[in-house]
Amino acid sequence: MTPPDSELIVRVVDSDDRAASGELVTRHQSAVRNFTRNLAGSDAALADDLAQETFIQAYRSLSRFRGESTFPTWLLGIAHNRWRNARRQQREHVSLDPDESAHATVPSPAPAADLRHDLADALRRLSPDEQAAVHLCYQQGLSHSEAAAVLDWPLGTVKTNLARGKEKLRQLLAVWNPQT
Amino acid sequence: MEPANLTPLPPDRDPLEAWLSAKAPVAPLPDEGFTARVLAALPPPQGSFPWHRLLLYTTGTLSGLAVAWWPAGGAPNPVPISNWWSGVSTQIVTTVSLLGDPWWSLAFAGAIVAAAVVFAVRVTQASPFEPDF
Repeated sequence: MTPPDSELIVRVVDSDDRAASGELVTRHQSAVRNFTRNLAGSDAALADDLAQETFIQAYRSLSRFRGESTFPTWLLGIAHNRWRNARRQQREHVSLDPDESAHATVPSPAPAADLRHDLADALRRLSPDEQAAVHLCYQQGLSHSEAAAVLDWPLGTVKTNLARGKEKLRQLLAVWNPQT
Repeated sequence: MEPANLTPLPPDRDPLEAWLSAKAPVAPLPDEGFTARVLAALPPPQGSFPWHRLLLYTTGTLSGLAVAWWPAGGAPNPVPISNWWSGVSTQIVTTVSLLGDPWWSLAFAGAIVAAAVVFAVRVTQASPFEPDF
């Protein structure tokens, strides 16, 4: 039986158990790396660097984890902070400008298999904040409240970014849905 | 995980919601050595005693005490420093001359080997390149 996160966390905090640390990283690396890849766009190396920094920061701060959110949600919050700091330092956005993306070429009708590509392409055209909200709520399956905690935003901001993001997606993917 | 059924939907459903939901959950990424890299980058285990720091602090403290002791009582001038250095040199020569005795040499070599073994064991235990899975 695999021990729950809470038990592994206690082992790390109490006795600096490296095996427990490794298990926590293995267990949650996919969610964190998917999130940082979503934030960093196509730069997988930067995304993995951010994910690694996230786990190191989490290790250092683990004794302060109070369980007010789930452990993965807490990790995603750290990841978002790291990314925000990195973006602030670099002063560059990895995604296209949202205004520019809103007027980007809509996909042309194509075989159904291309919808997958067009959806991924449309998601990349959202602003970073919209991407983060859509990713957390749909792809990570978080509730709006959990996404708000991860992003350190008010709940209304999450909903606003979700609504804007989905509206842009509807426009970008309108060709796939003649009713809209 | 790629969406398996990402196809245009009937107009009575919101296709976007359905497409986004079909895209969830995110594909699980293979570890590909990520966990090992994270463990390698973690700080050394708390249990390992910082011998190198102890050695550094002790050496620094003793050196400071020695410098303060020998030329004490006078303004800095070349004579006491010269005398101090002369005393230190004499002591070093005396200490080294003890190694002429085979038993002292043996004891000295044993101490060095023991210290090296202890240091190597400590470093191996704390090595970030040996993640403890």
